[in-house]
Amino acid sequence: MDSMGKIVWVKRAGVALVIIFALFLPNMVRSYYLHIAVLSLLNALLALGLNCIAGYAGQLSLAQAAFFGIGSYTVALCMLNLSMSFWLAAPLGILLAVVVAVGFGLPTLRLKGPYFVISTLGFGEIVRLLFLNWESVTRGANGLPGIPAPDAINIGFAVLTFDTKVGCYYLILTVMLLLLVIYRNMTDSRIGRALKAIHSDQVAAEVMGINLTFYKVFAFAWAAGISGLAGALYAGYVRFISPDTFTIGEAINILIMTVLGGMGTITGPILGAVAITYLLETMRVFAEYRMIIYGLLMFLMIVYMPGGLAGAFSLLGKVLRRRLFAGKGDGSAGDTTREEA
Amino acid sequence: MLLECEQVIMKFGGLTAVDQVDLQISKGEIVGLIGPNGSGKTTLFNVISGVYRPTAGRITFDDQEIAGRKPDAIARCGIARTFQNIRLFTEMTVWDNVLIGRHSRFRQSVLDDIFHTRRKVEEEKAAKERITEMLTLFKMIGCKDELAKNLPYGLQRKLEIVRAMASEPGLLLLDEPAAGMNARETAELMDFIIHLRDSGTTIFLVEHDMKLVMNVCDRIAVLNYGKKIAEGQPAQIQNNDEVIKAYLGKQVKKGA
Amino acid sequence: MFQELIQQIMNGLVLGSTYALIGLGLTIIYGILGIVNWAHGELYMLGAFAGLFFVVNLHLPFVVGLVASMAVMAVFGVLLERLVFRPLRSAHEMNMIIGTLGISIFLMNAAIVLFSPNPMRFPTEFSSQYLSFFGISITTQRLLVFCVTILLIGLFHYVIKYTSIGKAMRACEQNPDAARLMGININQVAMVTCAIGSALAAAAGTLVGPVFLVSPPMGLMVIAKVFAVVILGGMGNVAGAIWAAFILGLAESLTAGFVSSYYKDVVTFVILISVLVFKPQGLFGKSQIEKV
Repeated sequence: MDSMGKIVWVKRAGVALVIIFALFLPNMVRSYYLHIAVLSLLNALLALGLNCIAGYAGQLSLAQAAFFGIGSYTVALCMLNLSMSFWLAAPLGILLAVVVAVGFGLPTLRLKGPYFVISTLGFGEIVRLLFLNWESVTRGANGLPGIPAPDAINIGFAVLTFDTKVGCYYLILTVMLLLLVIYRNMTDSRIGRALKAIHSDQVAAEVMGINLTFYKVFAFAWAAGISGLAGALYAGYVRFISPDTFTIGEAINILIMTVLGGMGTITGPILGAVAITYLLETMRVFAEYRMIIYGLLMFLMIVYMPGGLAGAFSLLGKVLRRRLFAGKGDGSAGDTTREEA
Repeated sequence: MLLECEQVIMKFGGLTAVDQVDLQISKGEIVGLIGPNGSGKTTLFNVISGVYRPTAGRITFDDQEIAGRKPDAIARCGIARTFQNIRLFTEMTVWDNVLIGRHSRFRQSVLDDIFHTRRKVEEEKAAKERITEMLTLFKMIGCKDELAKNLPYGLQRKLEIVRAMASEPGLLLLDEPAAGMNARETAELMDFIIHLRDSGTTIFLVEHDMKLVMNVCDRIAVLNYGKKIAEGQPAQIQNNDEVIKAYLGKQVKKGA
Repeated sequence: MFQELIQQIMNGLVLGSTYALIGLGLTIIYGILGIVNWAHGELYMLGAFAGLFFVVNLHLPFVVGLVASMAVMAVFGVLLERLVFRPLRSAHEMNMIIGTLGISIFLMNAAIVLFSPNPMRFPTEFSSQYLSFFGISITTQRLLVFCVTILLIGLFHYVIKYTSIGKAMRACEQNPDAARLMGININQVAMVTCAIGSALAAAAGTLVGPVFLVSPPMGLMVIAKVFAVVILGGMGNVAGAIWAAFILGLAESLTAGFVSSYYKDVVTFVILISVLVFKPQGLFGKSQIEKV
């Protein structure tokens, strides 16, 4: 096996280890840390969503928290008022988020970068104010408590229940793994290439046959769908939602996770989400100090290390690879710049 | 007749950059477009490739009306181009640049991509083979994993052309392909362009390097202040008074 | 009813003045330096704290405090240009926003830690003076906000139009490459632009601080609206920014007074998005054909 082949197997082993670790997590940690793990997974979903529109297509959006909210509120309202099952309400929530995203994105994605950002910020605020003030439906600031857990599923030899933390953890983990497969398919394909081209040079991309509007709206809708999915799962897990979860501040938190983890890769947002969620929950006392560091880091990273944490690890991996496999003389010092899975 | 421009006009506010230009290009020709700076050459390219929407006029390509259509639609019809100031995807490799160039030739849909269907796998494999062929043919297979921004200038210009060729266009628009090149590189470029034509691509190029234009083009059109002032074979153009006047601003005695 | 209208119009003018001063700096930093400065709201906030320090802690007269705060923040602006904007100059537009957003978060939280997490009062010699006419009253402070704003805008106009540095700034905005070739020192122009932008934002902070309260998140609270103002006017368009500032300030006040104070924050964005859908370059922005 040449050194490139060895690298692929090392990476696959690494991924397998992480998955095994994730599968056995509930047996290894206390309930509190399991809660953090669940939140990390949800934030990872949100970060992956933002990564799609910002990291790949190069359009910063601050509307992710709004789509998160649309997913949550749809599930909550459908389950509470229409006695719908979670398994029907969740896809509905995702669909609504996607439809709204397409409706909003079609006229706004042709705007220049900063104009689009402010539009998404405005959109986020409008949605939040809707949640807050449409009291007849959303109960305003009081929020919606008592959301039922997702119904149990009978798979023949066992019944999977989701009214426990462990049950929800496995549900969200499974969804995440499935999503990662599809996400990877998307980024490692013609769509992903088109988005990166748009990010790099819109004019050149268009002249190459890439329909800017289609791909930008696609990325935005994809991001919205993932955020809506996270919202649906969040509603089913925490079972109480209120408007102050879905603020611009939350959108900025997601941005921080995505940037620090590394935009434009798949591992980056996940790394960033896990790290920051863990720090967020365990170091609440030092909120401002953490933010001072995040703010500074965000600036320093975007200027000097745009690959974020994931990029740093990737660089480390390349250095190690050179050290470990250098003597083989197989000329594979020419590294590809393709991201790791 | 592959490309026909009828009375094309492009105005920017009060400025008329392209003024009632008629032009015809037949299949298999290499046609050159010359003229002083600011005469509207690149603007005409931008209009043909869809970057600008013409103020008036008709443009027909392969019997299809393309005036005013978006650049990606025009690319799908079979027109590819390079840019005056190189517009490569700088952070991507040579391979990826060329692969993106082939975007319009893929036949799978978005759903195929997401669900990794057999169709996607086949299309990707076919594309990979085709790109490998092309890069080998154009002698760029060795640097396929180099980042575009790390290539020497001459190779960057060549890469832009290869990227445009990846979509197997019927018409290739080259905007000042020899800009910044030395004599040796220009000579290689000349061979390259002729080779492309002989393989079946019609070429329309804008250039300031007269040696290249006179030696490579079958026909030359000349623009000045947006108007076409002459058209014909290289020898005719060289001796055309109007053309000489446009470049030098005054009458020059023949032979002087 | 009529009195209510006049009252809201005056509030709108005060709000508009705030947006104009902050927006002016933001738009020239974009127009001349090409930087989208998300941290601009923090310049406003720091200006308010500086003014607070000079007037309340050092007991200086308000006008002196105003000038001092503008001077201090002008220096800070130069520092910002050197440390933050220069590395960002060649970055992708999205990265510029993210980078300056990071600095904004950094500055705001640093202010919380260094100054105070709670809002602080900023009383001046004008805060308790009133002017009354036709049953309407306005504090002198508020009147001062509007008047000083007009003065500063006039001063700015003079600098831009008649001084040599102003001409250099205009040249850079039109065509930075040509400007450089003509011997204009881009870095110097950058420093001056940031100094002016920061000073104007600081002026807004010091003027408005006494009207409301001074707190670290105050920059964050206005920045989105100021961006809306600048975009509505066309980014880089000075006159546009000033017009848009007053239009949106009035729209916000009138909505707060006559419709609902819940929706006043939203009306700005609704107007903005509506305009952008039909005029993607803003109300007064020129549609730029990108040179290809």
